[in-house]
Amino acid sequence: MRPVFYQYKSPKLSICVPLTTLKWLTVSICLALTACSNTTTVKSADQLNESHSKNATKADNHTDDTSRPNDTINIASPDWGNAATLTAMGYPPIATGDVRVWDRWVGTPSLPISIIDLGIRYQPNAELIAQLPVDLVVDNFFYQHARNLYGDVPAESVMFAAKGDTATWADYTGPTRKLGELIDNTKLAEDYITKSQQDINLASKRFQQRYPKVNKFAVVQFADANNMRMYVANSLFKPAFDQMDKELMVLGKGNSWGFVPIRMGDLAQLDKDTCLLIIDPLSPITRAEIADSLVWQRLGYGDARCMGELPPVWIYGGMSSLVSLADNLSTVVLKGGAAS
Amino acid sequence: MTINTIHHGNAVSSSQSSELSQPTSESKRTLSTRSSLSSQNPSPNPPSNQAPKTPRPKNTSSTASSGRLWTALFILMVLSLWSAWALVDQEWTRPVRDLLIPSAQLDIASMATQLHIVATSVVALLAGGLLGVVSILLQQLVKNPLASDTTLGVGVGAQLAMLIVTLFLPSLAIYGGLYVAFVGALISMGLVFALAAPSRFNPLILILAGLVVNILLAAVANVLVLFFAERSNGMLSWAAGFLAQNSWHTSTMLAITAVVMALVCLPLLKPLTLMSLDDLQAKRLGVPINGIRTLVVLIVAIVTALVISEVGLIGFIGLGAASLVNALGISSVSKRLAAAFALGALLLWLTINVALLLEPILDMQIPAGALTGILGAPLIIWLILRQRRERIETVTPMLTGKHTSIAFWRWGITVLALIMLACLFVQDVNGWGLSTDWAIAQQYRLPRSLSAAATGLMLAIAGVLLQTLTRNPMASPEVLGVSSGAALGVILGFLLLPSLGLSAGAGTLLISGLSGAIAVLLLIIWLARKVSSGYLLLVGIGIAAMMDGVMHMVKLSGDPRLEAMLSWLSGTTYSAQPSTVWYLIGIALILFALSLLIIKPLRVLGLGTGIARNLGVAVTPVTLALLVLVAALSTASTLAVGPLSFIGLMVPHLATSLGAVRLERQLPLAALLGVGVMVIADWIGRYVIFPYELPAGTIAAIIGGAYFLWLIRKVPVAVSR
Repeated sequence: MRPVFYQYKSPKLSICVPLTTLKWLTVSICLALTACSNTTTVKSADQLNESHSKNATKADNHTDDTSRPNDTINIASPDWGNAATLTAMGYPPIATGDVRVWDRWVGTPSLPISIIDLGIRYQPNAELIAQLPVDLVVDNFFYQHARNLYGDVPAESVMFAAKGDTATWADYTGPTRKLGELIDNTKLAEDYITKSQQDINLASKRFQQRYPKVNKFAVVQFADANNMRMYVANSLFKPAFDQMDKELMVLGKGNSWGFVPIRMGDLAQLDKDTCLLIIDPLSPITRAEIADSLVWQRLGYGDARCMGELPPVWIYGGMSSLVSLADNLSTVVLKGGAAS
Repeated sequence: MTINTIHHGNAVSSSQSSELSQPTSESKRTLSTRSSLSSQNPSPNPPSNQAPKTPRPKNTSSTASSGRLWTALFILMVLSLWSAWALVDQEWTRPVRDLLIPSAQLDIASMATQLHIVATSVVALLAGGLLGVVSILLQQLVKNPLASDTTLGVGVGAQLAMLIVTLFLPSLAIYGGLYVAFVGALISMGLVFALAAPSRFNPLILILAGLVVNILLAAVANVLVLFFAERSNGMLSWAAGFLAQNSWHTSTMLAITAVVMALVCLPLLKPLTLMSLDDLQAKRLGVPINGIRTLVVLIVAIVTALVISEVGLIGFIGLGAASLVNALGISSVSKRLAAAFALGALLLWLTINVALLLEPILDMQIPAGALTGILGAPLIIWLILRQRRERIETVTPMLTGKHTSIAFWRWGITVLALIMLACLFVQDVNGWGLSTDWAIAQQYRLPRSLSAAATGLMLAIAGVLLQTLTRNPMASPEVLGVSSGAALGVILGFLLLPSLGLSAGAGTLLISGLSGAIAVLLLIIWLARKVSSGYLLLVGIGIAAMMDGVMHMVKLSGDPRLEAMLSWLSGTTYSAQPSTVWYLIGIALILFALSLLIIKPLRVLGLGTGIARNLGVAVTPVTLALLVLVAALSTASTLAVGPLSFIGLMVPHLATSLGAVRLERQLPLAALLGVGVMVIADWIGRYVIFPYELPAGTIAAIIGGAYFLWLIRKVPVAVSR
């Protein structure tokens, strides 16, 4: 069990000290403290504790966030994959990044209202994290540059990604179990994995009823009308489709982020019975340009070939992305080709 | 291949340098030509030992030179055709004549390839041609051989307008993209012209205004893209200037434009010819000058807007084509326009062919716009090397301040109070307020404010040193491209060091950044011996564009590590830490002390190298020491907050206007002001949209750019003609 260093203490210093005196005091203390910061890390940790308590008494909304029982571990996760999986497990982090665009890119699960926005994902506001009662930061490889800014808050890396050329179900259960260990509740993780598998199977059955003839998919996301990313075997689509007994068609081997850049003309190389899934969001401008494209018109998606548009799913997400992907697929509207 | 031509051009220049390197007599009188850097010439007093020459019109260049240029043109054409053939050979498997059969009769894969080759080529030819014509029209209008859609900020304005509309009114962007881009182009062009008007369209001021408007609008666009990253996703590839086509729509659109423009330009030829001689004469002959001018501006804006809304921002093609036309010495307006169309078309065609040929090799998409940006720097260098032959009105913007006594202790206290306030008055979890949270202040707020302060200090000193050294009040590490060079060095180091078996740590990146800055400085020194220092500013444009191009490529490569590095290069103090910030402060203070030591020889040097040498100053060692100092200052600050901030440009002038006229006073006051401005910019960036952040460098660029535009407007210009 990690120590909880957030406690309630006496109210903050009185603010009736003259402002100028306070200013000078701050600067001299700041300078003194920073000058020997290396030797006083323990001391500053103590001060951090005190400062939290001062803040807490100042604000009511703050106490809302800390209304959990004291034995829970408060997690801040700038990364969406971990934040989404934790939320889906029923153990949402107290803060994550880029909350304002979560709905557009991640969608489900929706975040609790009490969630605190940490600002830009790749530059989580370390100052804010320090003001929150955070016990643990969960991030991954992409957030390494921000690691040494968390001060005394420990950070753990949990990465949902393919270990080899092909992403497997185990690549997603492993990190989920690790999240369970980090929150000291492995049962929650195991239950969530079982439930996820059931949900995906259920979604698979529903899809099978709706479109029994569609078995092969290719997944793309448009950058502009001509350029797109095709998600391949080392992306999260592979384990999701494996669980659903569907086949993922690819044009080439992906880079370390699970996609291969292709041009619209390359789509002609796909079989006629492969269904094209376009991952949202797709800007209205790109949509208009695609409709304008002679190649797109000739390819005949939505007519001779099957296509569908999937709501946003966080491509680099964790287990919860697999589930929302399956859910989205079970309700997707497919047009043309094998779907008709 | 553009490189090849440029090479060729360089060879021409250097072979003739003996007869052409002398400054023209008129420019000798100006302050700016007697650049102290030219002191590195063996001759102690360059102006005196060279026979005064009458300024030569450009078309008197010797027949040998013109013959070489025509050869270069021939090579350009051959290379374009060869690259096109190589592209067809690589991508097209059917007989070559099948390329021309109607798309509908081909199978889908072949049709996609056909569009990819033929439609793209058509678009490249037309867009390049139109941009070339636009640049020549602009040059006829303002009588400035450096004017173009890129240098006058026409394209950037159109792009920013499109970005804003795409973000907030997407439906308007789909159906009215052209009009939006048109309005944007008109506004930014109007801004540049309004700024240049008080100096009667002085060439240097015009280009400077264009440069500053360019950087300012780009900074605003940068803020929008950062804050609306998810919505501007599709904008990224458009902004980079992708030409690849998958329909004939754009080709048709541009073809119609080209035809209409040709028809509109025909009746304009005669008045333009008359106006190119002398406006007054033209007026006497009954040419409605203002009407013609308005018409030309409208044509330029609408054509640029069209090209930009269809294919994105393509820099330097227009400038390159127009410069080639000038170099060829074509004088009749109609021939100039036709030649510009042909040359622009060839240049862009060649660029896109090279880009498409490189794509499979580098395994990524290569936008033509980014590639032209990268090739823009050599183009500009070639251009300014040619420029010394041109007769051009030279000016030195004079910035004077009244000499008043300065209470440094007051400024010092103000700056300290500012840093304090920046740590105290903040937004935190509870909203705005005075925060007396020592721990957080010392762990997060103070380090960031202090690193902003250190970079402000360093940039300000570098600006003062460079301005005194080059005796050019418009010089600064950002404007001359030294900072961009440092940033380029860092990017290249990040990309290439691992393949050389070195880890890309802070130390190695520092060294690669330093070598980038020194490389640019050496280039500037080399050029300063040959051209008037006013034109050196153009090097900055070129190198900044090069960095922009590289950054676009990096963004499109999709490597998240590189993207993290980009956000760092955008100039944020995000990674400042209590344990390292003191090193930065230490470096800044040491460099500050060194620059204080060098004040005396620098002041003498500022009087002119001849005088300096007579007074017993060791000119070369002092100059070298100064340059190393400037490189160190620029690199350290670039590594901390990124390349574009305008602090180095703006703060020395601010110091002068506050009464610190003499160098001994200007340097420390500028240092203090630099600290103040940067701390404020950092504070705004951190707290105004808390918990989100804007990079301090971007905020500083917007503050500094706005101040500089205001300055340029007021500047009394000493015209020496």
